[in-house]
Amino acid sequence: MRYRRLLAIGLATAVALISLSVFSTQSLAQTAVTTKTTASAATAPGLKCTGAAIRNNPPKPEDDPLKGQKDPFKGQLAGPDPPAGLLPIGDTVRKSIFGLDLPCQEDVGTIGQEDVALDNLQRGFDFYSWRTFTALNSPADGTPIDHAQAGMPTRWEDMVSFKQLLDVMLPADLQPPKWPTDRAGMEAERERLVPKECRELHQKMPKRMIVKMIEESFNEPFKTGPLIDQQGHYAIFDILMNRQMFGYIMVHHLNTKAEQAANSDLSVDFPAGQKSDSTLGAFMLKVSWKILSSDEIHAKNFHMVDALVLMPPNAERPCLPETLGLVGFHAVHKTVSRPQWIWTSFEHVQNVPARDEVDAHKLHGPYNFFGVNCKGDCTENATPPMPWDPDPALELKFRSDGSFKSQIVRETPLTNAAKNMNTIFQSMLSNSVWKNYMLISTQWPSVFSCTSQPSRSSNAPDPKTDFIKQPDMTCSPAPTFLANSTLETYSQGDTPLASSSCIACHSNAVDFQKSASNPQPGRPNLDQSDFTYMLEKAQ
Amino acid sequence: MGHRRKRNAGDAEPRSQVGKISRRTMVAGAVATTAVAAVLPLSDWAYAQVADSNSNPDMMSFLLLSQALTGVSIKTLAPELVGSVPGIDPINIKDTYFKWIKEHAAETAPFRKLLQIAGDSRLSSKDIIAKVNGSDDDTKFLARSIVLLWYLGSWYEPADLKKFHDSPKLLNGPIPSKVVEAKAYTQGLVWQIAGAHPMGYSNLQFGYWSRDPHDPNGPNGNPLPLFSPSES
Amino acid sequence: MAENSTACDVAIVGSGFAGSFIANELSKKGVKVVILEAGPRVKPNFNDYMKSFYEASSKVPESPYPPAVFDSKGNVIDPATVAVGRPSSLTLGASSWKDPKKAYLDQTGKRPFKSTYERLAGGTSHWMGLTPRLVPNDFRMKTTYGQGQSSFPFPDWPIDYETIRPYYEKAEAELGVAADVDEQRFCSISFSANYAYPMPRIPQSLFDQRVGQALAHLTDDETKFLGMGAPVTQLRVRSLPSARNSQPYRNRRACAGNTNCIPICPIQAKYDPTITLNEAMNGGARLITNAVASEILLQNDRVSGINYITYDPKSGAKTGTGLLKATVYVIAANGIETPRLLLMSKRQKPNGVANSSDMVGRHLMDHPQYLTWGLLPQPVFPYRGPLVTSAIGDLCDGPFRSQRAAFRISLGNEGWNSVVGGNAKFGSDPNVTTLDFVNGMNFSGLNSKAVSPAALFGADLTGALGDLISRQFRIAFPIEQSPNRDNRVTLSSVSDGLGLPRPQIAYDISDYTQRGFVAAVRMRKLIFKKLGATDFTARADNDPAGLDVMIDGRPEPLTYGGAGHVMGTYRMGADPKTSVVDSWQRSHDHPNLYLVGSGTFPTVGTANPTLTLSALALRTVEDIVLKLPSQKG
Repeated sequence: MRYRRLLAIGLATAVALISLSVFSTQSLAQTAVTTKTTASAATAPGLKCTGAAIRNNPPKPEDDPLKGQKDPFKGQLAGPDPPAGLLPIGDTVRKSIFGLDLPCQEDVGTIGQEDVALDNLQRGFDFYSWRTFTALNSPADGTPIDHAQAGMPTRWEDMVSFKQLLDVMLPADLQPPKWPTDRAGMEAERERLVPKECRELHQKMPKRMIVKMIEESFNEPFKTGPLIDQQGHYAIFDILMNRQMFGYIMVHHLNTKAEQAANSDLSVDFPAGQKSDSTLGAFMLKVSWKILSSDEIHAKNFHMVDALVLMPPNAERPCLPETLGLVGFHAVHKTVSRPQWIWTSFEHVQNVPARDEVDAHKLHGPYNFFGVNCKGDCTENATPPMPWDPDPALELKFRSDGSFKSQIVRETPLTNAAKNMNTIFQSMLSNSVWKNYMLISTQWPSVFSCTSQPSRSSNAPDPKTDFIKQPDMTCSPAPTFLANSTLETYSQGDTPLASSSCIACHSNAVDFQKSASNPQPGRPNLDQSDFTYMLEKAQ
Repeated sequence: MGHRRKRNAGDAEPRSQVGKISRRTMVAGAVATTAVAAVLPLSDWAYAQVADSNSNPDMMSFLLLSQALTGVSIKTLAPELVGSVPGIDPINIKDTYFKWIKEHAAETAPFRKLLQIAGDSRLSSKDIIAKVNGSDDDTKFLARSIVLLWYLGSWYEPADLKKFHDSPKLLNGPIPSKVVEAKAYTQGLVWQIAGAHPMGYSNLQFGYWSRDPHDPNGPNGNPLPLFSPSES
Repeated sequence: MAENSTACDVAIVGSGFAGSFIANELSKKGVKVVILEAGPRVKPNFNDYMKSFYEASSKVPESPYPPAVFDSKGNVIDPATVAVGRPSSLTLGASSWKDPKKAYLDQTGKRPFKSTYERLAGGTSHWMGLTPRLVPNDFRMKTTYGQGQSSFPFPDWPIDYETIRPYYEKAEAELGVAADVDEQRFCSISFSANYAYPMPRIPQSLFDQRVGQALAHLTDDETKFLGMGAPVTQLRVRSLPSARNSQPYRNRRACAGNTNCIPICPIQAKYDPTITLNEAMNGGARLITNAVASEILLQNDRVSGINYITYDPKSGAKTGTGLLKATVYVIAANGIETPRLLLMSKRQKPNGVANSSDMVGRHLMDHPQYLTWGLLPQPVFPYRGPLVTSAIGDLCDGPFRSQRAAFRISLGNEGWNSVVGGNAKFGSDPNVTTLDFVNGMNFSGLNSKAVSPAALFGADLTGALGDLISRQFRIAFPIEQSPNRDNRVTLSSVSDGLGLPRPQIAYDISDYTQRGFVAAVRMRKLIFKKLGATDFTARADNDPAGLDVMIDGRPEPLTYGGAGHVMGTYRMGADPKTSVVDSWQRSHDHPNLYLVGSGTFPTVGTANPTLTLSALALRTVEDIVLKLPSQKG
């Protein structure tokens, strides 16, 4: 196994740490179980997940100093500072967290150390998000994440685990997409899909990630505008899916428009993660990259990837060798208990200042998308002037004179709880490039009755998630709004429907209808495409 | 724990705790009078497990008052109170309304009177309504303002309501009102009661309008009611 | 002399449907375009507009958009102090419609002109999104129905349906129209071979289905008043073609039934012109916002420039002037603002630019809406889905048109929202009905059972409201208006905040059109009877749009609403003596001037004008491109 599992079961070293008996000693056994269950497509090669909790067999809540908290950190996080004495987190705890794999399912509850049930749940989701983030971004070569350095490729970047959307929704002449389980097969598929404009560079730099740009790679959702960094370059966005999503798309022939149309009676229902049988379920990623300057490459404060970036369709399509730095990261995971998916968002810590910092002139620059010494038109959160389409001659520079740089401010500050969770994890990652990343928040559907409608029984198209999602698709998401300053830059705010809310927006994702939505009550077939816009990209 | 929860801009206002609910509100089996109401199973009900230390008895009385007057179940008004496990309520419209009323009518005799009526645990919803209807005009019209707040997300001054109730011929246009905030408009209850959603705010799916709004997945194969009516 | 001067190939005044369509097509061909827009720019996302909408206590069509109509104390802001004003639904009441201190339009006519519009980037984005085509006979009214009637008020268009048909298809693609071809073949509407609309039709609402069932079996006796020439034994409810996504289209979301098309779709599933405007700008067109065209300059009968005024969007104070020079000029400022600009441009022509015919501003037309509403015996669950999904269009053409106006029957999904109490005088529903039952009043007409109106709480209240609101319906009859030269836009003596004279309106409804109302009233009675509906159609006291028509010897008190359609004021025709532009929408008087938008319509039929004006704009692009080289020389 690649991962060092929990080894030392040492004594708790500080008051802040929980007692020994509740560590995940089970994880070793769990590992054994996990490696065996590779039979079904749901546990295909690539990322595995674990159903193990960090705190295994905790005491009853009334006897538990952590009051049934799911994470091992003693103290309330909802206050302005991390609990006294909590930091530094001891080795044992740190290894127990980083030693566990991606969670198959969230492990959350309403009881815990926070005063309010909602806060306990949010804390559970935020902890789940960090576990997910660190598991996905752990180096592919097995180095533990807390020692990961800036240039180490991550597990999600490995072709065995995630595939870019454009490599699935291929034009007719390249269909169908393939995702073999053996590395040679995967390499062959990668070779097959190298765009012709990149062939030459690819020969010289065969290991580079290839990013093929379309409009959505530089223009934020619903054409709200591109994002321009302090060096005057476009930020670049990419979308990826895991094997479980891919498998569902292929089984149900959703990879081309024609086949989607023929299949329009399908009630799209991607597989869901479940801890009881270690199923990972569907996972989608949306990442934002910044083109790094040589100073930034040197400073090693970003997770960096050497890439070939193919500019969007145009008369000319330069293929550019760039070193990209990760600045934004959306991870979206469907689980049996949250069929509206769980929406996590991370950012680089130096992206933008918060509104209150700007108002108080307490800036901690330099920032990736905000100029401390901005001159000229410094309107905050303004979209760039038109035209927006990248000019092939400028090679992803927005304007030749570099005259425009986005001046972005985070309108909704992070909650104290999120900040404290960040402090905890950043301290555990202090020897790693990943200390430069932070969780913005996790959005999750909160209304229990909405997520637990009775299943409709034997006619279910897919197991475990046969919930009727009407009438309310969104099930009162918590928090109500969530925006990543690099990915939903211009939709920040708290205006219903207009401001960014992962679930509210994605609940509008529908398929191509052949006939009017089903008039029969009780039968599924709502035309929805299960919270993803990916299916629209079929050609 | 010792931690005072100081609020930073990113945190919501400290939530008003709802305290323990009286046994009366938990009586299942009391069926509302509307034809579409379904009897909710006993297991849906239990005591809410919330900390006593921050509980706000006024909030509880306000919710019981609102439940009685609006005819909508307290678990819709305050989803924290739903179910056998404490629920959660990210939208938390009850705090918005409670705060608004406190700013516009707090510490006034009519408001205290309403809270007192609702706080009396001997009274059923019907009794509360009867007592409100039997109160002085100021109290009665404030009660109406509160209902309109829940139903429409807008505040109508009790004085205006009284004026146009007493002399309708004086009205030449819409009765003045103020939308409390965008969120309040989207949480208006009258739309739900009518089987719809606030215009401009739909969480629903393409094509839903060509179907009956009743969710077919109720207990015993019956459709679920369009809203949760208040008990007793 | 102006301080700053801009030069380009084509200058466009107005960035609404017509202006954006033309700018986009020209930019794609590499033509240098500059657009002058009186109002503010396109926002990156709708946050601010949606917030204004949600917080508005009166959710009228202009509620999301600037400028504000009321100040913070609730008083109407005097339009004389507003830099870029526009008409508002809130100043059409008895005490305001004729008061220039409240209403932007100086209305001096017999009846109020009730339609409103916006002046901001994207133009009248508050539109409903309905995109039916005009039917073939709409283009040849005189020939078909006016033979032997010297006073027949309708001319023929200088083009016919077949000429415009390919442009309808192009416009439908740009807008993204959802409809099924087979369902739209009525009143002789034809389609090119193998044509398919961009998207399948929007599903019908429960009310649509209910009406369809009710009107499936009619007798000739019941329907012969219609004068259709052949027995009408069924009236089919057809989906209305709409620029509303029924599936993902060009990276825009499909409709989620927010029931808010007017005034604003929260998820932009309804097309609005900012979409095309953004494409135009991305293609190189330049947009100058907060710039009000104030005068068209001529040199030897060619347009030589447009003067414009700039102002500070916050204070409204004038900040400067500019001069826009181009080879070709397009005025796309809507059916009232375009004639206003032409008439204001008096320097070389005392009667205004492009006005040798004296037709500029004349033949102002709307589709007066006869609004009816009632309660169905069984719930039909309104306030769901798009505001309108279906209509009965089959009655829009027939032999009766030699005598009376045609109408469409538009089925509303929004209950009594815009009609309760008579033109929503006391506010919109469900607010009015809710207030009635909470506060013991009866402005809706529904709280009439007891001796005095009931004031309810609790289960009684939810029962009453749940029952009544779920049974509400409304049916609107947009009625074709006949052109009348005395319905016109002129210049007022009152001005706006920039010192420019505001539009003055004279408006009335002709006998021909009133006879259309009569038929609509009979239709209403038939439909309500077939539905088993209780009729609540009423006219509020002192309704300035009150209209009494004689039916069977008795006066029937009616009222009408505006459809938001501003048409006819610079009509197209072959004869320069009786028209302002030719069929390419080029001015007869000035070879490098085009006037676009629904102002060029000689007749209006019963179709919402947006699709037709968009199609005409696309046709105009061809003429501009064709003639541009010779214009330059």
